[in-house]
Amino acid sequence: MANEADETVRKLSSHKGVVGVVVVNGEGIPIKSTLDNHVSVQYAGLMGSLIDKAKAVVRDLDPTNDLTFLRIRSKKSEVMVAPDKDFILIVVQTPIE
Amino acid sequence: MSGLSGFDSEAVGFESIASEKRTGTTSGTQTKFEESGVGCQTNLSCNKGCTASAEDFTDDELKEYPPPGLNEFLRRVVPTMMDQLNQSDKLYNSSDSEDEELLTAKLFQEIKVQDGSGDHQSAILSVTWSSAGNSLAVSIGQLNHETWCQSSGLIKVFTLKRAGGERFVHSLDISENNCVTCLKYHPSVAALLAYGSTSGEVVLCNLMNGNMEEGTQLASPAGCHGSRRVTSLKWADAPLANTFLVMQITNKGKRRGAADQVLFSAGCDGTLNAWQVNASSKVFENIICYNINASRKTSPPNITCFDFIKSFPLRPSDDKRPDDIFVVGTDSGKIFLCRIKSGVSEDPVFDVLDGHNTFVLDVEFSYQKAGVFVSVSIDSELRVYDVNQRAPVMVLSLEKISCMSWLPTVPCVVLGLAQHERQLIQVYNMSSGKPVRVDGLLGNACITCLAVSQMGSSSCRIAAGDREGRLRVWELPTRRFRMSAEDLDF
Repeated sequence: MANEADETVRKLSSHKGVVGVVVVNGEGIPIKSTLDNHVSVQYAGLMGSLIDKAKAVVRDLDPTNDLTFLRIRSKKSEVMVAPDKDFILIVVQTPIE
Repeated sequence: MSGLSGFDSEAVGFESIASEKRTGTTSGTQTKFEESGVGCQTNLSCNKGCTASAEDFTDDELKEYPPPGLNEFLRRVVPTMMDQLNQSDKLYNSSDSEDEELLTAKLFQEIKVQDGSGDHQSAILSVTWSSAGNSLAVSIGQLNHETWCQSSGLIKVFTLKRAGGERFVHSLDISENNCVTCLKYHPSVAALLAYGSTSGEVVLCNLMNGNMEEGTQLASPAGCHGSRRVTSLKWADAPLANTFLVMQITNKGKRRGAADQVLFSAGCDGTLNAWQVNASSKVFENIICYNINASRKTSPPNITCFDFIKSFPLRPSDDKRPDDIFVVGTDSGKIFLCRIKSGVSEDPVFDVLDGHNTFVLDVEFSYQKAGVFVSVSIDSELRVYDVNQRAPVMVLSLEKISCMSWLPTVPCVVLGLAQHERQLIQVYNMSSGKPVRVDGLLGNACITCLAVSQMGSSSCRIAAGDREGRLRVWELPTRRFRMSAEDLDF
């Protein structure tokens, strides 16, 4: 029987337009993913550093503020990132035809 | 002794150095070998871990999978993520994706209807297409009246001339004592044009030869609609006309002519009249006058619009809806669901829907889906209703809607917008609730009314009048609308 985390990832990945879901732990390692291994590692690494940078920007602008969500829209896809202290949730979606 | 000792000492010292060298070499070789052995053992222990079953783990080890805090983290962030994904449905996946084909509406003609003789009379109040789409009638008058309407109304008829390139040319003027609030060509008999005025009069014109000869106008009896503004007109299609003509025979014993038609008019006095009309035999008689919501003993509603359900005789039985329903919109935002009744004193209202907050501009039933209708209000809210439920199926908050019409062949509505220097007309897919991107509908005007005429199966013409007395006609390629199977099943 799938545990709660697996079920949540499955639910997210079945959403219309979603092509991949990656959960990254605090060490930058993808611990759950619906994408290929190398793609997951690439997303985990790149998004981890981008989240750190975005957090720094938000805090520099206002030290009492904090980053809660990040969306990156591109021509081909969109990446949505929900950062947290110990984990990062990354969802990748593409436009629906 | 001293010499011997010195020699011996030297010899011993040499041997001692040689011995140390050998020992060092041996020691180095052994170290390398041992390291290699340790590495192999580590690999083996990793393989053992992969083949282990769940029973091999202790409770403490199991607690590490999933990692502690992961479920809490997901519970916390997934609702936000789902919200964002749902927003993406509206914003990203729909109209603004570059992959979507951009349709272009072509401005067929722009006509300055008003000759500029007076600013207060410049607005186009109503526009209608003839059944074949080769004539357009527009009424010109004052958009707002502070008290009584003291200005005269004018209807201009434009006819399509094909010689020297297609264009609409002015062919006829019809004058009226008061502003003409609504106009409607008959959907199948091209010569019949009906209009209603601010004084409560409903008039039928027979434009048989393309002009107004003496005696070709038939007017409703005096005092109709309490001498108050006629707000909406509709012609009955054949099955609906048959229902009302049978009612006329049953109630009044009047015989029906083969060419008799049924016209509906609604006014500010809260009444909806059905008229039996025949232009050639000069018949203009009232079949029934419905007092909307009269049984509730409240002040009569100010009717702003109404529509009758479209009949769908070939629909499967589980998709059937009653074909005797009509809806009435009012200036208070209420929408009344009514049923055709033959008794004169009967209140046709059987349900009041969760309507708009303010003035309902228009209601119209869908051509595609039985029992579904769209209403728009002056606060720019568009609602989709099903007659089987009180609450709306869909509510869209849009920008400054002034009028609305369904497209005949696709489940989309055309909205006239009252905003300067931007989109004049917007097309919305009512199945998905998303706008359809159509280029070429920009301008600087406030649209007051519009009408749609289907041209074959490939395109339609949209005629829209504005506050400044300009009439624009666009050609819209409806065949190029990309509809999914779900849209068409809407």
